[in-house]
Amino acid sequence: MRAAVAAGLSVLLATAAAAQPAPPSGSPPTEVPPVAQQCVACHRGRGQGNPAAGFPRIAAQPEYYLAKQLRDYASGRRRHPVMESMARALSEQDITTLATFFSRQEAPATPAPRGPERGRVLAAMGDARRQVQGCANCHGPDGGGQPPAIPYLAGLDARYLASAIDAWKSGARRNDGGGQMLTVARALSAEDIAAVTAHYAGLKPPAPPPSGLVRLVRPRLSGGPAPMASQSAGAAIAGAEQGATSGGATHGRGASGPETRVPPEGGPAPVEAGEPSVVAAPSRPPTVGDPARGRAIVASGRYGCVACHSIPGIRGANGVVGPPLGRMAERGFIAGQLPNRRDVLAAFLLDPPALVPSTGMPDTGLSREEALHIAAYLYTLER
Amino acid sequence: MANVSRRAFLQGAGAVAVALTVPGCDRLTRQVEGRRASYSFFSADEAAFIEPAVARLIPADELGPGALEADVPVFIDRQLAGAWGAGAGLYRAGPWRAGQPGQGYQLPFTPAELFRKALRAIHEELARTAPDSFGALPTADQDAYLQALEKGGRDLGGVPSEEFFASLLELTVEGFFSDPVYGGNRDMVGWKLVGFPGAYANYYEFVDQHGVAFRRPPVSLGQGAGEVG
Amino acid sequence: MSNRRDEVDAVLIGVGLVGTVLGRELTKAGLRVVGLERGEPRNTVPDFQGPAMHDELRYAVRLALMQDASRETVTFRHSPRDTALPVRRWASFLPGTGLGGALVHWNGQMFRFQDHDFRMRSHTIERYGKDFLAPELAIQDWGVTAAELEPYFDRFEYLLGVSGKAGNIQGRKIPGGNVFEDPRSRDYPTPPQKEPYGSALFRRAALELGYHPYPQPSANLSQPYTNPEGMRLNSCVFCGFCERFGCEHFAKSSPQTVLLPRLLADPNFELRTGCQVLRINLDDTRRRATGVTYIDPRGVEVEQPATLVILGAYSYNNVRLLLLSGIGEPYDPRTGKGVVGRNYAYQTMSYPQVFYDESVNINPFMRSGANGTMIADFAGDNFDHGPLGFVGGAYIGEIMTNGRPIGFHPTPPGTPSWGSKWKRAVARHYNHTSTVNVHGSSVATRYNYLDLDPTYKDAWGLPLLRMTFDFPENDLRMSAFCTEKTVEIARIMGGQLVAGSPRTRPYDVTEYQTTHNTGGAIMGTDPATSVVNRYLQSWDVPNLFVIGACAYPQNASYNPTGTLGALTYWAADAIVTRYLKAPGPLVSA
Repeated sequence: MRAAVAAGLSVLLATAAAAQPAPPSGSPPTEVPPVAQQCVACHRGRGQGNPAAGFPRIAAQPEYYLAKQLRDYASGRRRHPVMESMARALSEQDITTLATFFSRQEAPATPAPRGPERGRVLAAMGDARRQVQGCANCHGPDGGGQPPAIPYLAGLDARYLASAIDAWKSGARRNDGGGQMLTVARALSAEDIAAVTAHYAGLKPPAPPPSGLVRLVRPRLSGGPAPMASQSAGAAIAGAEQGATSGGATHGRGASGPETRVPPEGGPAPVEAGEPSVVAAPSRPPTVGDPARGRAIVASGRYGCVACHSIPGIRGANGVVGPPLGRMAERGFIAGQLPNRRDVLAAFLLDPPALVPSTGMPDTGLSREEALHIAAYLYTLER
Repeated sequence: MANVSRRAFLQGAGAVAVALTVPGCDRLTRQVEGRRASYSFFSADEAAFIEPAVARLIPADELGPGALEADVPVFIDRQLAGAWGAGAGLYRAGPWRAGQPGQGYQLPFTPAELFRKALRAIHEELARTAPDSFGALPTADQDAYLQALEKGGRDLGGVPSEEFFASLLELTVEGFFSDPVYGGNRDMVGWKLVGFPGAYANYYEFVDQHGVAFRRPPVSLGQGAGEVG
Repeated sequence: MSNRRDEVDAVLIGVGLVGTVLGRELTKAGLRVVGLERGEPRNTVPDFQGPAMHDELRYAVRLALMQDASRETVTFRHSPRDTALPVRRWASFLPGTGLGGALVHWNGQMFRFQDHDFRMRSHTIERYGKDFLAPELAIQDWGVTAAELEPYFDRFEYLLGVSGKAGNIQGRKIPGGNVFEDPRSRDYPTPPQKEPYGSALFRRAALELGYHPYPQPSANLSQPYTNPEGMRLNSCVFCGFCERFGCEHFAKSSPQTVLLPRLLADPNFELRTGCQVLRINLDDTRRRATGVTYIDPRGVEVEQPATLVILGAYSYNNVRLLLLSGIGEPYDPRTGKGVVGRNYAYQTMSYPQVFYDESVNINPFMRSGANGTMIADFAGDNFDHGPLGFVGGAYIGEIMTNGRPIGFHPTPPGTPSWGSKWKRAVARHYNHTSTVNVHGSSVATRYNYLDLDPTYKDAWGLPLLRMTFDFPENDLRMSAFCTEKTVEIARIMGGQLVAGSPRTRPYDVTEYQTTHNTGGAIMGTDPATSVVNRYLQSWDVPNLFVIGACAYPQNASYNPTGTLGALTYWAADAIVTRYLKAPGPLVSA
């Protein structure tokens, strides 16, 4: 059902996705965005932190990681009295702005003196007796991190690192992949923690990572006629070139023998992860929505729009979680990054995380028609 | 040189190797030539075949550098000069018999011996039939020669040509995609071509973000140890 | 014998899965145990740590963790009419070596064989009649049932911390698990791993066709877990370096991560590595083992007397050691008589591939060894074989394990194997291809067997094992059927092209298929047709237990390790609770 709207977008998205990750171009942004003013009081103007006062360096941490931390503070998966309340007040747009800004900062650093050998050993290969693996497996060579999800440790203040390990240990922080850090932190003794944090504090922090390392793409699954489909019209072509199919899961080659080539069938429509497959695509779907019907859908409260957004003219729509929706037509971007077009907005409404993985806006379960109507309605909003 | 005409050879005298036709590759090619002296297994004659041959197996093209630019000859050289080339992990006791299809490698040669014999035979053959080095032939003729080796049925100093070709191709692919610490896959060009992120690998966060375009630049084993990159 | 050591209560030949479990159970029972391991000692720290472990060339291509074929290999031929030649370089299967054995470098795919697998002959006759089995098939019952083994499956799964979803708890079927499985007493210890993209596409397609997809049970753990031995495991991070590698994260169940440290800490246990066992010694009656003779790391021949001998090396190495020691009558395919070496079986694999549009990022490198989604609708006898004319089946699953590019760079049929077109195809398809495994069973036949090679020797001057094998007609038909079913699923997985073909003859030892070599020292109820009884005790030498997949009378659709773990605990329990109290045959012949 969503396929038609998605199809309209697919070229745009595929083009964007094909672009290689861009190294931060030019000089890093030096002008602190307004929303970051509250951060720099503690983390300093370029995110270099203020170790003496206990505020960690955040400059050049991966964008994805920083945004995730802010969301996790907001949701309580990561606990900190000040950060939680600050993060809860941020919009998704704010989070993107902050993560982008700080991730691109090449802030000055003054690494601590070289740490003890025990710390280096723990970092590089862990400890058999404690059943703990080397930190480098995930935190990368020389503690430089493994962007986009895993932060660097090099050059971070030892006290901050130790407090982070304590938070993992106590369960105050549990927002890592698979609970790895809980197990690791609990295995380390106080002496180990002192040694390994001193080791990382003595390394040089890395330069800002490239941006755009991950991007969700709307797939074209079993689409229309494809070049390869036409060349494979017959089944069971005997004597086809053997050994051309290299690789299996872990296998050097496919099974030998005549190849069975199967053309994609016209029947199955695109399926998307996370929703049931669709057996038949609709014929000639409508492409223009009706603003009046869109307003009715929003006003009905069925999809909870008003809980997060303030919407002029809709009673009770004064949420502050997401951005206000007035003057929608005048914006440059949707969710801070998609071109503000009617078809794009409709596609975004249908499945927001599919287009902007970092968005806080959930998939509300709109139908394609409903999304078109709401998009049409939003463009009529003023104020 | 069954498949290569005399005329093609003469034309080849003035031909330019394909690597040189790709913008940016002439610099790389010069670097590769500068490293020839450092081969520990290949002689100059052998390198004069191996280098253009791997450049045909994985050519430089609009998608990026090929096997030559990736230093695949350096990789192969080190493999043949090392324990693997000397037959490590290879059962080497006789008696020796030709096997049936499916019974696997049954030649009495180590990889180093196999290459040495085959390359000598190739060198002698080319010296008889071609006025110029293999690398100076037109690429179509180079391809035809390699195809003839691949097709098999020719003896290269006791080595069936298809056996040598298969081994050369296998090593070329290995050198293009293995970690740069082994001397090939220079600047991780093989990994960049396909989008393989390399040795540092924790994807817990992304495995269920279905279809995500993941574009982290690859990381080698040697990074952080000051060896590579 | 100049180097005779003091007698111990038990000696273990091989310290992998079997050796570690038996060592633990026997030392707990108070026995003094020596473990002999031919390979090197190794541990998660420091031996498996990154990034060095993530080296495809060293481990996956040059096979650093595998048995050194230059010193000991097997010879191979397709039929008794042919001359066997040495497998000079491993490829089709990869026997491991070293402390922890193959469970260091396995993928962690953790299955239970089904009851009809254990009773394959009688079950087939019950369901399809006496004439259904083709005369060439040598399939037999195992002498145990799934119900008998259930507590041992359970124990093994909880030792390993297996991540999965039950399909049948005490008779209650649970949608989303393997609804074909026999009743299990409780759910898996940890929930399933995350589902990768290609697996999700497979699940949807399988559901659309009315099949029963479920997450593959995995010994790469979905979350931290502390097992009953107090060993702590961590979560798998989907690094894509699992099979052929050790795990740096304590996330893959292996002897090192689930049990071995407990055993090594036991003062009743002594580990000796670098010790190559040459033979099991017998007394004059040839009915009692007196211990083993091995070559120590200095090259000195040593005799280790022992009251109880546990033969727990790799499957076919167990068979070879029996033959080298003269235990049991060697099998003769001409007469059909003899037992040691009979019923060698393998696994019948094929791998259709789905080639996608470039917008579909499969991300093959984000995988674990045993993640993915599969169906058992065509495994074993979960479907009606009546009209089909073969026995056995396959599980079918999108269970890709890695995107390591030397081994994985799929191209569609018709692509040249080198040159610009090849390069373009590799770049185009690497991240946009999904592989579906057809993991097929393997029947035993009269002419697939193991014996000693008359010509070729190992580095110690002893005959190599000779393997005589080709895919039986039954399995080719099975593969054709199951591969066709797989292609039907693959066609609706949303790709542009599906390419795949069933398994064909001849068997090719240069193509990696799987390291699931089974049989040769099979278990059973009749000494005339089996080497060990239902407790894996030698019929001929009752103080010798032979534990390994060599005991399987034929191989099932599922990966063999889960069943081997259950049989290991089953045998250990019989030894500790019955044999030690009254040493002698546990089953009268």
